[in-house]
Amino acid sequence: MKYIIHILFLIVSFGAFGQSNPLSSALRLYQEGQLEEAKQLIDSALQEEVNQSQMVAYYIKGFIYKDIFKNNPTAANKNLRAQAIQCFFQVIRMDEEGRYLAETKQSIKYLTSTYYNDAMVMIQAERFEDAINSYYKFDSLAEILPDSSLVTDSARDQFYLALGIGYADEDVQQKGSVYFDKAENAFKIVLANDSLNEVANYSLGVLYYNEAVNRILELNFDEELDEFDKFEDDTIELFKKALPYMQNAYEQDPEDENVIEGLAGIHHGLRDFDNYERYMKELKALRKDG
Amino acid sequence: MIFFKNILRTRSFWIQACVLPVAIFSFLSFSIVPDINAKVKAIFLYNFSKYIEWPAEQTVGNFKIVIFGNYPALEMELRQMASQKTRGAQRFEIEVYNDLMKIPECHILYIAKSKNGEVSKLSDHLKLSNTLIVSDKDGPLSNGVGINFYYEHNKQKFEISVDNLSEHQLKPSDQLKLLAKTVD
Repeated sequence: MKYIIHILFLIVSFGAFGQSNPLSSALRLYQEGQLEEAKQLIDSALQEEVNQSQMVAYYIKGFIYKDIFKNNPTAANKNLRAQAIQCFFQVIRMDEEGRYLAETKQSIKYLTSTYYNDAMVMIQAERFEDAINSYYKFDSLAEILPDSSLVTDSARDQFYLALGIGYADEDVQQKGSVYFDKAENAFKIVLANDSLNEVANYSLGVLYYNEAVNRILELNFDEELDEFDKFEDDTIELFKKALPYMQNAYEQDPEDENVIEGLAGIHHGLRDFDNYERYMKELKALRKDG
Repeated sequence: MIFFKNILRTRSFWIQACVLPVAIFSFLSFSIVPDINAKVKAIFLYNFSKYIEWPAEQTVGNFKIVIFGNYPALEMELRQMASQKTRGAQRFEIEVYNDLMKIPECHILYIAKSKNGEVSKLSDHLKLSNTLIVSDKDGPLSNGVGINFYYEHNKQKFEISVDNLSEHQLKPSDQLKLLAKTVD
């Protein structure tokens, strides 16, 4: 709201618009919090050619749309967010003196970040495709933002970590093996960028470990022994795949109880009982100290 | 079933210059290390019941499997197996004993690691029975023991003594002998 003071100053200073001017009326309604009425007025004003060349019209529209979305970020209002962003980019294009650049960029940044936040919420709701689309939208906008500080490796890594963990969820995994591959891929994207990422290393180790254990515990008792031998080749392979990732996580934080317990579990799966005992001993010592 | 569970610890994550804090999935958390080896041994023991022939008089009544010593995970798996499977017309019966002298005649006796020191005494105790004695220890297969579990290349394996089995009037199938390491 504070930026609108600049507009008011602009309008009053230049005397560009009278009391009946639709732009100043839209601004007044906006300031009074009558956003829907302000929206109707600005939409109507921008139908007229004379206003289409006014930077301030897009500026006001951007703020009105942004605030409607911000107050009620429902699916129905998502389109307003996109339109607000378009308006702010239009302002940047028209604002040759850069008078409103700072606040316009700040608004775009805010709206762009909501795509990211939406993506994270969608993951928790297991709407993975929507989450990816929302993240891509965030990413594409962040890239074209002037002097953007949104495009960070950290943001991308956090997204793919959350996505991987979402895919690795027990209920999701039961929906099909495709989610195992998707989780694995998401964690590997993080590790390709940051091979020492503890959470990604741990999570990938856990993914392989859980898959092996689930396969074993879901076996029928009358599994034939010759078939079982081949079956064990696959589960041992999974435990072996899990081990280096869990070891990487351990190197990042040798006192993380989750990681130590993970290492114990993997060594148990590999029937390496000396190492299993070693990590269980470490775990007990840590818990005793804690 | 997931053994390292997802928990939603809401660690706030802020995009730089972002207005809204975002709750993210922050870590996968461990619950318990399940004893997969118990499930594996239960599968093997069930298969032994299928691929070993007991004297005719032992094929009536329940098929009794005894665990000598504490191995709760195996006991749980065997009870699960007993609730799902039969050996022909025989129902499985699972019992656990810690006192050697109280062990009754049974079809299969599994010796938990904690009781490895009592294998010889146990063999004497069950010398005249038609019991398949299964041990789970490193080193050579002890007298009287029909089958011993061991690990090789990270995998569960078993060795079999046809002579020891014969002493208890037990006859392993050729298929079982093919899969086992035969020690005599």
